[in-house]
Amino acid sequence: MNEGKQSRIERAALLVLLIPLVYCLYLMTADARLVAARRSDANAIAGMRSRVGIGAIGGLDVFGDSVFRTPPVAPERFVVFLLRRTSIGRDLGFWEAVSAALGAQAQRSVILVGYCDGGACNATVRNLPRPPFPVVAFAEIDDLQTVLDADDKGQFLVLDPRASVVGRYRWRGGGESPETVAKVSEP
Amino acid sequence: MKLHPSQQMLPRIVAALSIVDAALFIGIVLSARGIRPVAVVRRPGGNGVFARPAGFTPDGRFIPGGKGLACWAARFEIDNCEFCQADDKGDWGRLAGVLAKLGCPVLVLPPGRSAELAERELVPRDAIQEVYISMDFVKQFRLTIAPTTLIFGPRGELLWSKQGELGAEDYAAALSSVRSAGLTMRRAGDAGSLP
Repeated sequence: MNEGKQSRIERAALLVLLIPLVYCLYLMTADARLVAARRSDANAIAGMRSRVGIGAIGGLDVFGDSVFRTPPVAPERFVVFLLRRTSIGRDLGFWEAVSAALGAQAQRSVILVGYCDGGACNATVRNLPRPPFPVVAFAEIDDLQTVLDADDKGQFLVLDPRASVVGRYRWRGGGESPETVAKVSEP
Repeated sequence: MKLHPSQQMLPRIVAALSIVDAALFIGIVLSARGIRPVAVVRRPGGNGVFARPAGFTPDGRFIPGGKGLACWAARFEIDNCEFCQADDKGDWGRLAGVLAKLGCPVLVLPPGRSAELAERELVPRDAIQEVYISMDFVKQFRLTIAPTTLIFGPRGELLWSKQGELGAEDYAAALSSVRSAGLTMRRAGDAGSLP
């Protein structure tokens, strides 16, 4: 076969093969977006919360009261974390220390919100001295899953005033002091 | 005639591209199979016994957690979801009717307040919607796809579940699971076998 003609055929084949390649890549991206949209709780919490507003953070606390009956004045950060029944004393102690480590200014602008990991945790916290932050007992499923997913990785979440996640930091498993956690939580 | 080096490479590029295309095609097919929602995702841990979760309805009514129920069902559903609505009118509607006859309460769980269902949209009509729930249930299941249906038996065991819209085969499979758990019609006039 004429080499020039062969080369033209190969170029045409190349073009023909590029079309499904590009389409496959597009499909993979769309597929990834679909999976991400379904599985990314970070998006869910951001999307839902930004529509509902600040008052939606929390739900009902272990005493059955609305967590933010009075929405906090000019919050700059919400810091949400899970409290596990199995380590409730240690968990509460850690976050009480974080609260104390926040500067005077930060204590007004950084709102700590704990989430209990179930009915046994709720009952335990009810019988302890009230911590310096609300402890959520009942909340929206998306929010609970978001907090739980973060805790599976030993993390807490830092949210902006619109409740979009702006940071994820490790605190479980040792290594992080309450002072370090307080520092990364400040705006 | 001596070919330019790029022209010499052309057959190899075409061959390599063919392989990449084939691999991508297979990958997409497998990936699509992978994301097809069927079984509900269980989180690790737990004892396999699920009590109906305590929670609050949209109007603030407290619903205590249910233990000792003959059966109960949970339905993860969102407002303005065409698959959920089609399912409500289709096989979920049929299944919900059977569950009602069996005396199995249905709990509707939206992902959040902004996705809660209007009371008239609940299927069955006497379903209870909890917009705030405790972490106990969420610790056991990952609920991200609407609709998701879960049916629990007399010991709180998961009898049957499905992520996505139900089909006729799902309806049959769910009934079969309910039958194998020994549940029988409870309402007067419904005595007899399941459909």
